[in-house]
Amino acid sequence: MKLLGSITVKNILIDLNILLDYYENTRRKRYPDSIEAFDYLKYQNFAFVSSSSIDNFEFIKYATLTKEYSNLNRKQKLLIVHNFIKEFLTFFKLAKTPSYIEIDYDDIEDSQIIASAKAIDALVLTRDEKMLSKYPDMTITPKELLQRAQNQDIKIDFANLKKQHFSYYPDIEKSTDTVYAHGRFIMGPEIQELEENLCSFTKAKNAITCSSGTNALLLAMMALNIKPGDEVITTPFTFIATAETIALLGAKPVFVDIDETTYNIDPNKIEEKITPKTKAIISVSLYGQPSDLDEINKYTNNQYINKPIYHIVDGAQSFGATYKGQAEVHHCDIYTTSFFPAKPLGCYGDGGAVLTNNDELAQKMRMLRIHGQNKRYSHKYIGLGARLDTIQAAILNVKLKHYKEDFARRNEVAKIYTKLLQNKENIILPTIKPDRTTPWAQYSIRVKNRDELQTKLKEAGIPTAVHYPKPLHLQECFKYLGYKEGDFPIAEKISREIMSLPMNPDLSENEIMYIAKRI
Amino acid sequence: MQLIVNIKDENLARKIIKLLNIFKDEGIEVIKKKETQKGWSDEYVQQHWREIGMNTHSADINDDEYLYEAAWEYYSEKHSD
Repeated sequence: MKLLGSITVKNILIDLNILLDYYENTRRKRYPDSIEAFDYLKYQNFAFVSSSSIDNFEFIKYATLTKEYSNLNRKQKLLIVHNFIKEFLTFFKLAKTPSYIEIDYDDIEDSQIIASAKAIDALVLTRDEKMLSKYPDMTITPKELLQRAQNQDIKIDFANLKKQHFSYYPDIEKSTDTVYAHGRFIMGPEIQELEENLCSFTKAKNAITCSSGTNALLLAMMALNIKPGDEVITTPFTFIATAETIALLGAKPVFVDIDETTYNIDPNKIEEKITPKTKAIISVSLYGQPSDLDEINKYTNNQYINKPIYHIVDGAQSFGATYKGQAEVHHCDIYTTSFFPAKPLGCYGDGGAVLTNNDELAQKMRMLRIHGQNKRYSHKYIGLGARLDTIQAAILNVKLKHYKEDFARRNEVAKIYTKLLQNKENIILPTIKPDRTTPWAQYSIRVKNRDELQTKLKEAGIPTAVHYPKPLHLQECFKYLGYKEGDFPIAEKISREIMSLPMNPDLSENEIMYIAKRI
Repeated sequence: MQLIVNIKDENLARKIIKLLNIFKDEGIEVIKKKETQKGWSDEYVQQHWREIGMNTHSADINDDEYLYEAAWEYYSEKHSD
């Protein structure tokens, strides 16, 4: 895990003069700050060189070799130059010149570099005084960069989606360019590729992508024919979508209080809520941790009401989690997930998926997501327009390739938080049961003085969030269900105390220490 | 007219060339005498590319004329038949 703190919220684009400083003995002596800055930036996800600098580097290095050595032939000079280029391209990513460049004919090279920097939201690292004075808001000297690094000027982002994007930058750019090129923006080949990748990752028999985590829940319940008059048991301590979709289908959400350690539905309290109308149980893997799935599955056999009760896992926050060594899809009828940007596996907009080992349900959900269509303009069911965009699938295919690594990093971040916070008084840390794993969608602690602590952290530049401040049974939209305060005391208590700390795979140890010290 | 500087010490030679460049407007081109260098084998260059490549002096290229000449040589070779 990288331990360096973020020195800037922007990326850094390294100008040609810094590259030349690094690869020449006389310039190295003359410009030591360039060398130190270059070394500092090596292998950092936020360090780039402009594609326009490559050709200029090749030419200048070639010309200086020609001047210095009469005994080198062209092939030998190019070998030397290309070895240098290959080397710095292992250290830094390439930023292309965007098509919307504003060419400055006084200095075409500088305008190319500035255009590249704008496209990736970068500062140009340069010694070029002309560029520094012409673009003061877009440039930084090696000395300034090193000063910022030394000052540990930490800037913490809650989910840090921008940094994640640039971590995958060349692959994301390639995959999205492919979609622009083939133009199949709806149900393009990337959709099938993603569904195969999701099956391969989870070992599920079927994966059907869709346009959001909310629509994933709708598809699952529509496939199970949940309709007015049915009851669906779920937790009141979750995002609105879980219960909202039950109500949208005309069924009745029936809440069951939560377990005080996992914050997930308490399986011991389910039985008393089962009636002949119960059609399904939706367990939610809150913050990423699976519920007690085996205990919940005890209620899904016929002995209770002589008809099946289905089990849907709302895994909007839990993609990649395991329960007793397997993905959650193997412990329920349908697993739903969300690819909302801030989720552990997020796309660049709304997205979701349903996974199931039941081929019949899978086939029905495939139709339901395209208006219930079984063939073009033939509609077997009343369905939804709920397809995932091809462009989102292209992005997810890239991110899924790196997901195991991200999952491990998130766990490492959580481990450091726990280590640093475990001896602090008046804080309850998250508990993960030993037979399950989590992607740590959130690292949520419980404190009595939440408002005060949030204010203090905000003043220190540390963003926090509350997931969720009001349990669903107390929401105005569910007033018709007749619940009142005190009906689910544990959910109510947790909602008053819970607070999520910044969590993302790029959070450094320095940043976590900075946060922990202020709690 | 060319003025050839024959001093082995690289740094000193560069400084003197820089000084003598004040005569550039009079049409005097000051150049360092190139030592006769033996050709290197490809294998030698492959093994010592970094050492050879690090020993250039691009900071001295403030002479546009040189750059244009070098560009002419570089690109005509690159794009020649």
